[in-house]
Amino acid sequence: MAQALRLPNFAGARATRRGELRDSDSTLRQWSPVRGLESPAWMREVYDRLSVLGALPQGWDTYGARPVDPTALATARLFLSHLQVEDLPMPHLSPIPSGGIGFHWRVGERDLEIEIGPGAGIRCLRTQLPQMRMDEDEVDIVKAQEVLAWLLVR
Amino acid sequence: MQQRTLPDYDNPPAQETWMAFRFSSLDWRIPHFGAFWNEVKDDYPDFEVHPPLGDFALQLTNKDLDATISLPIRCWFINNEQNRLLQVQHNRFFQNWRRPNPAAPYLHYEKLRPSFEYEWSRFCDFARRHRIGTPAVLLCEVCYINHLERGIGWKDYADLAVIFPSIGTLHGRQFLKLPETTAVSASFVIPPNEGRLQVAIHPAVRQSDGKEVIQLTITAGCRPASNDMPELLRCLDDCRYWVVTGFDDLTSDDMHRIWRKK
Repeated sequence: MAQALRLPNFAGARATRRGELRDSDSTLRQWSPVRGLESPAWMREVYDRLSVLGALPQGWDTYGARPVDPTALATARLFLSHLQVEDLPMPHLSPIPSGGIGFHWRVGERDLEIEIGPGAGIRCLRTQLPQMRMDEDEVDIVKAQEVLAWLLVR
Repeated sequence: MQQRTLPDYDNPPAQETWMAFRFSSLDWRIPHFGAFWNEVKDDYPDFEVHPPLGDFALQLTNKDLDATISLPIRCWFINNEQNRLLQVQHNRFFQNWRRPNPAAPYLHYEKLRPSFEYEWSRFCDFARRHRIGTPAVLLCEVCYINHLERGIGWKDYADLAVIFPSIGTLHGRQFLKLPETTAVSASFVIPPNEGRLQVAIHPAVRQSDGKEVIQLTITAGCRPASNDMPELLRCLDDCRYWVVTGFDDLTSDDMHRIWRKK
C-alpha cells in the first residue's frame, strides 16, 4: 500500500538552518550565497565592531601598533560569514598590534582565541580551564568550525 | 522581443538574475536527471543535488516485492565559468546567471532571454523524446537579486529610507529607538490580476567576499494565457518590465546617481 508522507514546504526547513535568510522559498532559488545578519543577534554588532577596528590609526595603542591590515579585515569578514555560530555567545574582538584581528570566546571552562594575522593566516589557541591545558594550531575555515564546536562540548 | 523604454543603469547593483517556468508535473524520475544531464553536460559539466522547491510528496510503499520510492529532488547543472546554472525538478525549470565577482560586467536581459529560451526548448525536446509529458506552463517568473554594499550610498541598516524613500524608519513614537536591522517583504498586484511582484529586503553578508549588503530581491510572476512560446516570452518580458520598473520606482534618486542611471 502506498503511503504519501506530506512534507512541509522546504521554506520551513530552511528557516531552521543556521544563519540563512529567513524568507519564503525565494531565497532557495538563489545561487549567490549570503547569510542573514539577524542571526545570531550579535552578528550585526560584530560586523560594526570590525568596521571600527578597520578604522584604527597607526599607533592606536600608543606603542606604535600597526593599523588593522585590510587583508586581515576582509578575511575576518569572510571568516564570520561562513561560520555556524548561532549557539555561541558574542565574541570579544580586539585589534592585534601586528595588524591582525583577534576573536575571543569563553564558554564555561573553555577558552578560545582565534587570531587573523595581517597575512590572512588564521591561528587558534584553545585553553581548557582550570588546568590551563593549551593547544595552538593553524586553521582554515573548516577547521575553525570544528574548533568552535569544541567550545560547546560538555 | 517587445521594445519598451525601461530605466537603465551603467552600474546596476544586480548580482544575480533568474528566469523560471513552473509547469504541471511531469512523470520525471531520478534517471531522467542523469539522462538530461548527459545532453547538457558539455555546457554544464558540474552538478549539485538539492531538495525540491514547493510542497512535495515522498511516496513510499511497504510491499517487499514491488517496493518503490519516489524521491523528489532538484538538480543543479552548472557551467565551467560558474556563472550559469540550470535548475530542474519535476515541475520547475530555472536558469540563473550571476556575477562571478562584483566587478564583472552585468549581463542584460536581452542576452539572457534567448539563452533561457534555448535551454527551455532543449528541456521540452528531452521530455517529448522520453515520453514523460509536455510541460504546461502555469507561471513565468523573472527575478533580479541586487546587492547594495554597505558604504556605497548607505551606512546604517536603520537608514533604509535613504535607499527606499517610501520606507519609514520604524522609530517608535516614545519608547523604541531606531531598530538595529530592518527587513521588508511586500507584494504588489500586476494588473489585471495577471500575477504578483514580490519585493524582499534583507540585511545580509555576501559569502563570496564577506561584505555587508542589503539584498534587494524583486521577483515577478505572471500566468500565461497559453503554452505557446510567444505567449511565454511575452510573460517573461512583462515580468522583466515589472521588476525593472519596480526597482526604479522603489529606489531613491541618490542611489540612481550612484548606479549611474542613464
